[in-house]
Amino acid sequence: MSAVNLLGEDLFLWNEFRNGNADAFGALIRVHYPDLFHYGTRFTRDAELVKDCLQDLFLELWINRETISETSFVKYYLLKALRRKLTRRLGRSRYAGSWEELHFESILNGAHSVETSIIREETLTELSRKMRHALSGLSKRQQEAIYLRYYFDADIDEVAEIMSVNRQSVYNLLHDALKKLKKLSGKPSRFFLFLPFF
Amino acid sequence: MEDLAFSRSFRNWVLNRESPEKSFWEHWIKRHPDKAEMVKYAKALIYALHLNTTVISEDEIDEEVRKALIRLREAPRYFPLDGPDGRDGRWRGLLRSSWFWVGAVLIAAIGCGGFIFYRAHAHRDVLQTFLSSHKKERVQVQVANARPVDLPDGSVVRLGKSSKLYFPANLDRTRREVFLEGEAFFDIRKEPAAPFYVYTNQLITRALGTSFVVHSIPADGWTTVTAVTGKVSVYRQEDFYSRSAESGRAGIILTPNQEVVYDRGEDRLQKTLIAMPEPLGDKRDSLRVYQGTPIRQVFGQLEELYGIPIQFDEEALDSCSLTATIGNGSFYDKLNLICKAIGGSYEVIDGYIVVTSRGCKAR
Repeated sequence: MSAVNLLGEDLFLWNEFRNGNADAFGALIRVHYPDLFHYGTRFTRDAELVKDCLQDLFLELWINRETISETSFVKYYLLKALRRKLTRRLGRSRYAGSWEELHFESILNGAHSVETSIIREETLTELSRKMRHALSGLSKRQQEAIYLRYYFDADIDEVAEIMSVNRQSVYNLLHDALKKLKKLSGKPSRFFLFLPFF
Repeated sequence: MEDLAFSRSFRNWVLNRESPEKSFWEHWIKRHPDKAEMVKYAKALIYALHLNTTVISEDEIDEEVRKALIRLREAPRYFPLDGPDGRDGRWRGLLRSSWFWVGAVLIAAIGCGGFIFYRAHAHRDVLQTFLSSHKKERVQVQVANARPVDLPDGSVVRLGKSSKLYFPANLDRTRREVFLEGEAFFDIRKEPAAPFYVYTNQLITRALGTSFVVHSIPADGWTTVTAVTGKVSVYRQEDFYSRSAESGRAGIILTPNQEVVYDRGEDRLQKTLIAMPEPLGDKRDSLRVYQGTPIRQVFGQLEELYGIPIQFDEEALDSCSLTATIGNGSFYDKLNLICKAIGGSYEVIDGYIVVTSRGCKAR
């Protein structure tokens, strides 16, 4: 999908950026922009606000480049930084900042997603709708944890890092979420073991 | 085992049936009829999780990245660095003051405006252009180390200290293009149908099968390209990317021992000779004894040895001849000696030597 996507090259660009190489920084943010934008629009539908936050984030990263740590997980570092920024922004403009009320837009907002042409098997439509209903009953944090696992292949530790909570909390979030899904969907039980907990 | 829904490969297949994983998953499902129910639920979950994403186009992303780079290039002048020296508190107070921000925003806006105008007219980000034109491929980055870089097409690159080379993994199959940051010696494998391009932020060099040196170190105010063997063409990025009819003529052709210097401040190309021209690869510098040899012939031999064109007024110098032994010195040593003998002088103009002399009739 992107031109430079190997972890090693990511790391290389990151270190170059920390040394003040603006071209490397440009390449780096170009590579991660789609994911960051995607994640950002989970918090608000205001795409301009997300773009704005990203601009601020890039500028801050650049200004603080000399004090930024070395990291081998550039993407997760960026996601976390964006999350912190959006939380603060949205908190300021909406609910005076309580974390629980963070506006992580429901994964299933709007009734349209399931009905799109993406579903090729009619028989699955009903099941998907049920599952979507079950998902929308989850807490925002549970939804976010599932989203991060699902879209960014983040493991438990990475989800914990991005959401700034500890590993056990993520484990609990996911465990409870999947238990709820299981209950709402009825059968079959084995499917819901799909999370590898190690 | 059961983490189907979180498996990227399974997901790709569900959302895009023509994915390369297609046959694998179809096979897998056939072989595991007992998992049918599980597959069904995993698919349903994937559909349920499928988001209505707010779409952002590649162009929009490019625009945002460009904006970010413009902002950050201006940034250090207007924003303090949060250094480790404990000035934090003082700056915080200042940063909280809304007047500070009004001022900063105004200054930044004026700065950005000017900068955007300047950039739009002068420069584009060649690295980004390069990367986005190779979006579909894997681009490798090679940092300088002791060993030369062997490119997939058989060309060899020696990188200078702290220099970097970006090249697409399938360089041999498509256009041969690399991006250089720093300096490097290129020895390009001859491939008449596929020119080799070296991009830097200021200059683009095009070669068919030659060797040359590119020097593009950001801290220096200039960029140079030096031809070692064969011919290369050098373009300013502005000319290179412009689609106008004259763009074909806007490049400068270099022959061995010639060098082009690009002054970033003046945005100007100048062709010249390198400081120490070397005899051409297949030629040997040997002692030459001249005994009343016509000067035309002497210059001719020098021209041939170094591949550097020497111009002079044939008529005026027709009367001149040389009696001397020449060898082992540098190109300029020889030139000085000859000019002294004929009472003339030389200039380097546009990568040529131009000799002027009143002639030798009086002697």
